[in-house]
Amino acid sequence: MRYAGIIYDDTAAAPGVCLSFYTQGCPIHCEGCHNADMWDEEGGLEFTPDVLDKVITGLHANGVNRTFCILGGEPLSPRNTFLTTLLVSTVKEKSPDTPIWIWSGYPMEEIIHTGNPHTEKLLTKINGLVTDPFVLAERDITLKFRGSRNQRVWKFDAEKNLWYNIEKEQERFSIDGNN
Amino acid sequence: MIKKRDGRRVEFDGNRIRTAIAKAYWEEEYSPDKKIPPYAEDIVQYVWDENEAYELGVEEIQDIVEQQLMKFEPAVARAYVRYRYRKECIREQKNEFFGLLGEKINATNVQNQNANVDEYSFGGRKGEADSIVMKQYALDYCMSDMARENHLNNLIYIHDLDAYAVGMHNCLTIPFDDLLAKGFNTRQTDVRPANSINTAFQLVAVIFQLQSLQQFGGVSASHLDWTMVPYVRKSFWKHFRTGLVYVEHRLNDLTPDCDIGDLSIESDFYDKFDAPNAYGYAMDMTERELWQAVEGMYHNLNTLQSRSGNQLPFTSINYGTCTLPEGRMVIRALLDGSIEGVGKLHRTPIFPCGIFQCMKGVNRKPGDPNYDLFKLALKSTARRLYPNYANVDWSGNAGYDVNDPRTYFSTMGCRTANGYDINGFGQLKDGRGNICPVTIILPNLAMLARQEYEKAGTRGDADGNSKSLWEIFMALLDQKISEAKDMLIERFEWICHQNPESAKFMYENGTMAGYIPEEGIRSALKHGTLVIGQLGMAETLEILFETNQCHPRGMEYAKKIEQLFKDRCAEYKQEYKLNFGVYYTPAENLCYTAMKKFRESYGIIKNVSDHEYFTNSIHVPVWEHVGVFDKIDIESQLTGYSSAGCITYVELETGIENNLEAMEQIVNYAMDHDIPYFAINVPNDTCLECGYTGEFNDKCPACGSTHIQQLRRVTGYLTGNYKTAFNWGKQKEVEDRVKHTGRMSE
Repeated sequence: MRYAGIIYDDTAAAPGVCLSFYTQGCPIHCEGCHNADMWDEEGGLEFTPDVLDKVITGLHANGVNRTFCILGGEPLSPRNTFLTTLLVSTVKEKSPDTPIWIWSGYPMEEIIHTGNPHTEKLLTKINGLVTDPFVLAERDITLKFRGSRNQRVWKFDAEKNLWYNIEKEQERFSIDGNN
Repeated sequence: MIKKRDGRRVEFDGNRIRTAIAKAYWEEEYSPDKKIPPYAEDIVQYVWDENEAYELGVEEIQDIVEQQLMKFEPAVARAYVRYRYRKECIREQKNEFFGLLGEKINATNVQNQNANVDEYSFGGRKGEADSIVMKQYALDYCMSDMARENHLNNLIYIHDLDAYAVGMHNCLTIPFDDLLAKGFNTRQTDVRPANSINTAFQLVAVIFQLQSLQQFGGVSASHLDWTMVPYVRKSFWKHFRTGLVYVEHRLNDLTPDCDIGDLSIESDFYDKFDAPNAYGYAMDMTERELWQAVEGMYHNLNTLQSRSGNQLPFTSINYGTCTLPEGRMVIRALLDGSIEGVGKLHRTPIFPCGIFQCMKGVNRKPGDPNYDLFKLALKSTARRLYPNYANVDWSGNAGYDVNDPRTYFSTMGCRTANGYDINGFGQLKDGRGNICPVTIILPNLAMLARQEYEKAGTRGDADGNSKSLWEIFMALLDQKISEAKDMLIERFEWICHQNPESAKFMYENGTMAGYIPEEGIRSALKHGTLVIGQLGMAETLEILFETNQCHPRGMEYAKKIEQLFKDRCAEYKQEYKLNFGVYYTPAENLCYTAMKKFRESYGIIKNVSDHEYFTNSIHVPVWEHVGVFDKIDIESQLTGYSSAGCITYVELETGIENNLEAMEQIVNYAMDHDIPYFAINVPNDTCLECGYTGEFNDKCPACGSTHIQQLRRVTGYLTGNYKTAFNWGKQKEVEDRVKHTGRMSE
């Protein structure tokens, strides 16, 4: 398994100070991607168990509670789904109160209907999701948490078991796969 | 006729040769009545003859005299050569002096020593030329040999040397409460007390400007939100009366000169009128007036270039703790005004330096009465770099009075702070300031210690005991701290001997508190601080131990060094009854000039002089890769030693505007770790075509323009475009700054 790197004190990803984990390898290849060096599945670094330890320690370093972010690369690509699931379940187990966010270039519709039980389970464990490919023509540097206007930011409502678009609340996906 | 150096042709004068020979003959014992050696006549005759044959110049004549003297009396010839050489040196010094003066007058060698001075402007050129003369005069006529030698040898630096001779002091926190309530006098007139919020804010700008002309450093307001409460009330009452008459049409309810005094805008006094429309009108109009007043102040403080070099006064305003409705209105207006910006493009205001005073139970956590304003402050900082954050709960300000905001911890924007006054004012900030600073350039002491250590080798001292490098350094530091104290006392005495007429505005209006005319100006100056600053802790530890304070061993020694500073200042404070304090100097220009001189002596040493500047005080070097919380952890272990002012900054990414939650965590972390004064650096590039603000170096990402202003923080203040306003060393420092968030690692 490969990964690209970690930002231990990140203020540019999700709300609050984050620990951001960058996966390696992406099949989508958006034009204008600013992490193109993370496309190659064989690039980056070898993922070892001690990296997982560093992540867990890093989430609370200096006594500060960080949000855990997984970006890339494509965290939900077929090759990376296992690592992403491993990271999420480990963080959930060792640090249950840590909010988790994932950035994916796939549209929500595709993510939620993969039929992959790993992904389905994943979607009940995380708190935020930013979806859709980066579109250069839609690029807007003033946007919060994303690079182009077409990309959508979702939050998980654990009580109702559904994902909703933070800008259009009527756009929602129930986690059992029905809209 | 002979030809002089400047080309003029004058009559040959034999007496000049006779006198020169007599001076050489008698050397130190010469006086005009002394006998002239008999051979002088022969030499004069010889020169006369030569000059008849061919018109000579002064230098040629002197060559002939020298040769002739060798024939008559070689010892006198040698004295004559020495005499000629001395005269030559004086001429060279004079040339050098006027050369420097010329550079300043013509702005041919602009150094940007102070980013606030435009050295190209008429005012700047004149001011800089004055400064050369004033500095030389101070060195030659105003101080002891000890002080001069420490300064010239780059060991203890005397700041603002050009203000030394006239005896100005440094900076002041202005007691605005009194000045606005009582009015004040100027040379030409007097000004009545403020009677509305608009006037009060106008007068704040005026008073800042007037006071800044009485001194060489900054001016501040320590609790502007509280200060403005009575004037919000006065304006509200005026608008309410207008509302009664024109909105409610109830002319008869009022006597024309009815004065409510200092009554809250929420007082039930207003309920008794049962005039909700007038009340609503008054609220609306007061807010509008306040907004206009604040906007006026921001523009005034960015346009009133009133000092030499077309400088703006260095102004700072502290606020954030007032929970009264009027105070909250003021805080909100100050922050909204900061976010709004100045000018057509809504640019970041460079002055005043805004300082938000964080206080537990007041504005720190959800549920605190001013928590909403703290969040607004964070929004402003993300966009405008201001406000900075002062920690009212800082342990070093213990003993303040929770009921008196004049004692809350506040700063002069750069970092200077008024510590506990031993002469009776305690933690009162208003009417006090720094009198004068000196800075010990620590890396130079470390090099001297190392040289002594290496010279001693293994032989040890006279008793055969060899001292460690550390012991030699600490002994030298102790000696220099003591000399720094003596230098401060010397200057303090010099300042105390000035005539109060030199700073009439200050003494007549009591802007410096405590002045008792019968006792002289010392009665006021003694409440100010005398501060011993320092430069280059990181480089010093590298010289001594090949590490710095980012590592446990370096930190251990850094603490010992700071403990010595702190202990000595505490002792001097008791002994001399003067407010000595430890100061983490801004050293805006010194960081660069001290390094230039260091390199001339010692060349480039790895981790010591391989950058263009020395690291500020105890700061983590800007090039160190440390995380934002680690940086705070490291510096918070050392900031507690400084009673006279320090600042901690962190470098964040511009995108922070979209993540105020993260900023809140970071500011809270700093406050919880007892950092006294905290600032956040976010690159602030503004497109001068479309006004877009962010980090983009040479080209605007929104409109593609290359017409860019790049604002960066220097000391605690901002300045104009750093690439034109900062000195070379400081520019390099800015470029070396490593971000403390967002760095990818394994």
